[in-house]
Amino acid sequence: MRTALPALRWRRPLPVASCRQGAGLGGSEAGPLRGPIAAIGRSGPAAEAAANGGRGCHARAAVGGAARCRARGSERGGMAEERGPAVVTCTAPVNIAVIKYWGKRDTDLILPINSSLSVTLHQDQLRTTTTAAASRDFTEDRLWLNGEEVDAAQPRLQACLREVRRLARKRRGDEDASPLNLSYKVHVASENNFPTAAGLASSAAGYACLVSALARLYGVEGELSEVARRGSGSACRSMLGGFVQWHRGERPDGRDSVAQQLAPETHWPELRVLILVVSGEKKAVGSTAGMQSSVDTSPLLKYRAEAVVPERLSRMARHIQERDFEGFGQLTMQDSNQFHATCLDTFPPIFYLNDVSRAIIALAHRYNAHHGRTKVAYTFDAGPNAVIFALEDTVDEFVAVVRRSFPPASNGDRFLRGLPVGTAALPEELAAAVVAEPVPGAVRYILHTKPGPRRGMSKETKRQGLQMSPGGKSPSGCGKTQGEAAREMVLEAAGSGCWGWRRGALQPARHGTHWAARPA
Amino acid sequence: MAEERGPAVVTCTAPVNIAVIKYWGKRDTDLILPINSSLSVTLHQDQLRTTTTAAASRDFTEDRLWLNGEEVDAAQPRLQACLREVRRLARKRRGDEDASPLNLSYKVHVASENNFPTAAGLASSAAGYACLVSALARLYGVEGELSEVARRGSGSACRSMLGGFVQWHRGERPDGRDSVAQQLAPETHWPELRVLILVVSGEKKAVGSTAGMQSSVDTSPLLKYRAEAVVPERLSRMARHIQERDFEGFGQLTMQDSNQFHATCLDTFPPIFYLNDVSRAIIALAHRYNAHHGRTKVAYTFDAGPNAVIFALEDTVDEFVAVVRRSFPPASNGDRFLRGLPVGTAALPEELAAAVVAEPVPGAVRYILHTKPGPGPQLLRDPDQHLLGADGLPRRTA
Repeated sequence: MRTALPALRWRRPLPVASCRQGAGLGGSEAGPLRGPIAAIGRSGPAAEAAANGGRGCHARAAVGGAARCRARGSERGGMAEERGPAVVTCTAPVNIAVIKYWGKRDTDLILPINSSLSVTLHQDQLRTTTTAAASRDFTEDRLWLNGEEVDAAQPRLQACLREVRRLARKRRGDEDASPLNLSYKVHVASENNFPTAAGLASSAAGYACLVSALARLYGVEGELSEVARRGSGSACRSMLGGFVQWHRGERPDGRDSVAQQLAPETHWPELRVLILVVSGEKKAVGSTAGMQSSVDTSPLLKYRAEAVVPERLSRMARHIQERDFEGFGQLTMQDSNQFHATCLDTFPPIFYLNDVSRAIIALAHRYNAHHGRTKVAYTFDAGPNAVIFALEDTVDEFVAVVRRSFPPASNGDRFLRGLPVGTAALPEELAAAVVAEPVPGAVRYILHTKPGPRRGMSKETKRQGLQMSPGGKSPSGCGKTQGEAAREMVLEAAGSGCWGWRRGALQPARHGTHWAARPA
Repeated sequence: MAEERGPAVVTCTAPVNIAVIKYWGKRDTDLILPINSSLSVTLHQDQLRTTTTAAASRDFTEDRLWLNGEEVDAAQPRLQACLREVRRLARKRRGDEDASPLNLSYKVHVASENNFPTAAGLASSAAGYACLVSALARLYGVEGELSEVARRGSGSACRSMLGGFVQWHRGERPDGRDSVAQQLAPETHWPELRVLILVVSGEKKAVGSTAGMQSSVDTSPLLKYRAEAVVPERLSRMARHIQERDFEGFGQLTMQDSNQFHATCLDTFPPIFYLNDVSRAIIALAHRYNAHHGRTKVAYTFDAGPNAVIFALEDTVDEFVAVVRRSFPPASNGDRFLRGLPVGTAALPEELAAAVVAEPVPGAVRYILHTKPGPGPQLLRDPDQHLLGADGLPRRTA
């Protein structure tokens, strides 16, 4: 059962797409899922037509009830009759690398100097939602991130678009090819369910989501991590759930630089993740510029990539396979430290760890030393937030230790978020050995989560009033006319993070719909 | 000389040195042999020095050691190693006319003091052991190559046996006979070179160097690579920069090597942090200052502690001190914020201040010590300077 999400930024009025009035439904697809979830908006009269031919689409379509979505290509005739933008919404997860990626051997294709290995986190706690729409009426590609329009001409977005279109073009001629006109411009809106200021804002989730949505839009299937990689290296790892490896690859064209799942999230049920969100500081060096600087100036980085990482990867894969937390934890900490070491060996040096990060590191070591084994393992990315791995039975006690070491500044703000944490009494002996001088307010809050799948929210998640019964009638029980309900849905859609459009284009996107089109 | 009328007493002073190519990690912990060579600048004793008096007498019943007025354990292995080595060398010289008649079986009393506060974190085992060895050697009439002996006390002490710019050769021999210090250039070689030590507010004690470097050797893959593949090439480059008085090259390489040393500390497990947020702020300040001027005008280096050692040429000192003062305003006016060599008051152009000075952090820098390269150990001939009295016990300073 999901717990309350962190403060959402859903309810922000979004720019409304310019589209033809009265435009109806555009093309959309259903079918087997790749990577993160696809949700499809559909309502109105055509919804009934959508009842056929779904390729295993799950029942929880936007049209509500048992209606199934329209299979891709099954109504080609109907699809050619575009009555508005084709719209797809996907969600995608964040991932945390335990063997770090830092440095490219090709900045165009985004090919790394070393392989990396990550844990995909659960979308109940952290996810990006992206809606992508294409229409002949759109005059240019546009992009909104968390409600703010940003430059859609930026190379990485364009690279992803080009790649998806290229793959779509390849499929032309297949029955399954998307009839969506590849020359149409796209509008993309993306939102995170976690605050950007937390420093968890993840280009990985963002690009994985974007690529998934675009791929759905254009009817592209198959290996997509390569496409996501073109947006942001680590995004390729967010295309899969559980434990994921991004292979460095050898080919100059990058065709073999792809992500592969090592084990599903169900492989290690006791594994938990605590994200200690540290009080914000002024922005450090961005990852792209930072890693380039490291490649250019750090002798140690080269050695790390060539001589250290390959061996660590096999060890890490083995620790995960064997569910060996001692090995997993120790290697995770070492690799985090080595990544930051190469940042320090860069010129000018890059510091992502601050005094609070260091205090957390020291705390983790004291805690482990006290217990005589590795019970918690820290890892830090390009920022001060700590990601702590622990097994389920350690969480309560360690959270108590963190609370004692970094007392919340005020009681109001929810200090503990995400999965529930039990209140553990802290034995004074432990506290005396482990808790140093408390630093109030240093940790803003703790987010408790766990490894997660590529799919998004669970079936049980209630929709936000966007249900429509079969036959296009108003949402069950609300007694409104379709028109009124439609306007509500438009507003709902507009306020809920999927950009909306005026009247008629009744395509409430169903966020995070759980599709079981194909067994995971 | 055979007529002993009380303890034989010798007093020496010895300098602190700052490595610009760092030593971190031993290949032999007994003989104190390093995994890589290192290169340092010896600082001037007017600002920083250890003074050591060594006395030997038939009346002393045991070896005793006082540091900054406090008696400490004289049985500790490194002190004994130095003693043994000096006596061994003295024994070798027996038979020469110049040999010391001092009975090698006599116990010694040693008192040592720094002219800088221990709490500053500048307390340097290098200066201490260099001084001890210099004094003992004088006492026993031992001359010649002594850096090897100082090395037995503390690795970096061997570099404090010489003035100016000094290299400590790693050596290849297992017995360490070739692991010695050599002067690359005297302190007079680069008259414009200055050193500003930013003494940072004290924190709780970090990991000591000896334990720290052992942990690094044991656990850091990057350290091994540094020692084998990176340092040798950096040493030749650094020697050339010094020879050519090339501050741009000298400064940049100094900063890079400091950072790489700290990187290997971070790559240690558990990780070792000697830099804190103030150190980071100083580093960032140096980079902004250099960027503003479009060239390397200041170069930082940090040892196993948060104090920053800044190299600069004479004509940069006044302005950079003003920048530091603006960035890290002294907590109170009472304490002398500027010490050592004089610094002129420079007006800070507002344009510079705007570009370079970040959010000021009051009190983060306790004081600045202005110094420069200096000579090696000195013998003090004035008997009033002895730290031990005729009774062989520490003199109460007036």
